[in-house]
Amino acid sequence: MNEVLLIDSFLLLLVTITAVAVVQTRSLYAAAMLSGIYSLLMALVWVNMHSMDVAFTEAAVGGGISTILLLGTLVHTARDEKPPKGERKRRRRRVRWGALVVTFATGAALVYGTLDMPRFGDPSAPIHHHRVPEMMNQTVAFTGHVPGKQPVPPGWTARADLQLPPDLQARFTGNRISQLPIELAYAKKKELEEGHAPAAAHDEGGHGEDAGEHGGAHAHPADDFNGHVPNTVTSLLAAYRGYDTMFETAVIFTAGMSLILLLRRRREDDQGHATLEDQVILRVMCKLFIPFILIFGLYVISHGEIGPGGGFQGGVILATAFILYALIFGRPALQKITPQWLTDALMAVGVLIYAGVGVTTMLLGGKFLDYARLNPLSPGDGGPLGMTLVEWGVGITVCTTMITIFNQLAERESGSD
Amino acid sequence: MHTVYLLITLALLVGLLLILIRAVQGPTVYDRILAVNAMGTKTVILVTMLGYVSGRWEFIDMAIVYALISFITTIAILKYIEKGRLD
Amino acid sequence: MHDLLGIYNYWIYVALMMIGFYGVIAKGNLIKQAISLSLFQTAIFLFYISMAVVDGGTAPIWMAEGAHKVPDPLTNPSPYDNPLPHVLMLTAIVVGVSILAVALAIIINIKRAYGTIEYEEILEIERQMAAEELAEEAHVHG
Repeated sequence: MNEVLLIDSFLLLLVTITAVAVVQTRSLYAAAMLSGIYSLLMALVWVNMHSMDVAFTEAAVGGGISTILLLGTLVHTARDEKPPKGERKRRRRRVRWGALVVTFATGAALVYGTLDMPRFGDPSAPIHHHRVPEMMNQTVAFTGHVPGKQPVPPGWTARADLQLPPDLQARFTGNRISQLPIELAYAKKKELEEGHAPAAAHDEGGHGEDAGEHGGAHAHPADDFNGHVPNTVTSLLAAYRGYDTMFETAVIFTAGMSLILLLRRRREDDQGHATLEDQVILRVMCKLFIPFILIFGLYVISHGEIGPGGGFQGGVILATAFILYALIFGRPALQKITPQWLTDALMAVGVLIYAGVGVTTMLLGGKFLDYARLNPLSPGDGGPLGMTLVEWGVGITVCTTMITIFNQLAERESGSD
Repeated sequence: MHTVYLLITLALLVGLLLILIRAVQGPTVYDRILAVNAMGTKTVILVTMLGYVSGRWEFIDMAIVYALISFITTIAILKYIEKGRLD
Repeated sequence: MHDLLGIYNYWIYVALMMIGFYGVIAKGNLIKQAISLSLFQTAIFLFYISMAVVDGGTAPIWMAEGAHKVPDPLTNPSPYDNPLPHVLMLTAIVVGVSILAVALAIIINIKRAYGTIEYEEILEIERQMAAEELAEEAHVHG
């Protein structure tokens, strides 16, 4: 039994206990806090399974923002769940037998389905053999050793046709188009697609050393993933699933818009606010803290392609800094530094940056979000550049949307109490 | 050394269980707040220990996020209790 | 024994999912339903990320030279866990919080309109309103 499974089984036990407590408790307030604990535990489970980016997001979003949003809603509604009518007299919890039966039947069907799953951590599971080995063998980003970047790991061989750019002088004389490395790369890609396609179909997995040479399954060229960066999660997020991530950013933008439409009032009259400014320790601590939180958030966004993190996580961390400011100094103070028109505009600007990078690559002669076009001299370095730009777009949208959501949910109308 | 790290991690997990019992049982709101706070602290250490167990430096970044988030969540909860509003 | 532990994660995912499901269909409080919905979502994340684990694998971030394990195509397709499920779930978490935020905004509006967030009470108010409307209509026509 390995250590991952050992820690995992213990943590999942705690998670299950917390989940039962969340659903069972009558106090909504306790439920909000317990769901915060649940998210922290879940993030630990993911740290244990080495899924760092997910753990990062879950800790920032689930543990932080969700709990704050739930508390903000409780301000408007009620602190406790009302017991159902029959229960008020009998003082005993009523179990809904119908719901219980449906739940158990669905659960039994799902458990039956899991019996056919490959065991936990099985390296021969189908999921690890389709497309992923080719992707893990990418070398496109490593056209040469660039200071500050991670060196080529042993076991991965750099491709000969993607060496450092030719002499600048040569580019302006003679047949300069065909001398550009990007053109060489695309020519090679075409050749691979046509030449090796039948052979690749036989070699289903396409893993091993061959994967760098030909495309592997479905005759995809080896550099189909659009440039690779040390953090493969970011690489997949921004390149392989780039369209999807763009539209998910648009979903977040839409959520922010819906919040504005649902909750924002026409006339901004003074609703009053509560500050914690009289707490000296809190005030001083926060003034010291906020710059560091902001720097950390910026670090996480711009460092996303090298270490864990990225636009989603960094954006949420930036937003928590603003939320902390609002908690201590009141919401009017927050609106002074981030006025409504600014957050509203930046929400859209983030999505536009993402789409703009895609359009730029199209104008440069490639496909939508074909990052290699961004740096014609060294296509491998176009990837990290494009991904960083895209991550900034995501980060701006996520950060401002979270601030907007907090603003709308936390605002209390004067009539209610 | 690896085994030592693993044992420390397991010991911390047992501590986590005890905190969780306090958080689930209550009975007062303040018990739960303390439980949430202690949970955050324990999680930071646990993430660092897990980093040692699997030998990756990247876990340190994550530990910082946990510390940050549990701090802000605690402030939000306390403000809700004392003032009854978040804005 | 090893086989049973091998699918332990998937059983926990079913358990968590069903806890969330029970909360959504059995609880009358709307906020409780929103929280249960996010439990349900997290269970799905657990399912995906459990699939990504490879025995002896490490986080899918390329390590510096030296600390690197050379992949063996037969037993270990790569020394790293599978990053693809991680990516799918990463975006799903952020979309999940957007869903939660919109749900909470709708709940606040419901509270403004009906004065309650209990499902049964809302239904009762709706029924009363419908009955009043009918009576009014009958009065006009009569």
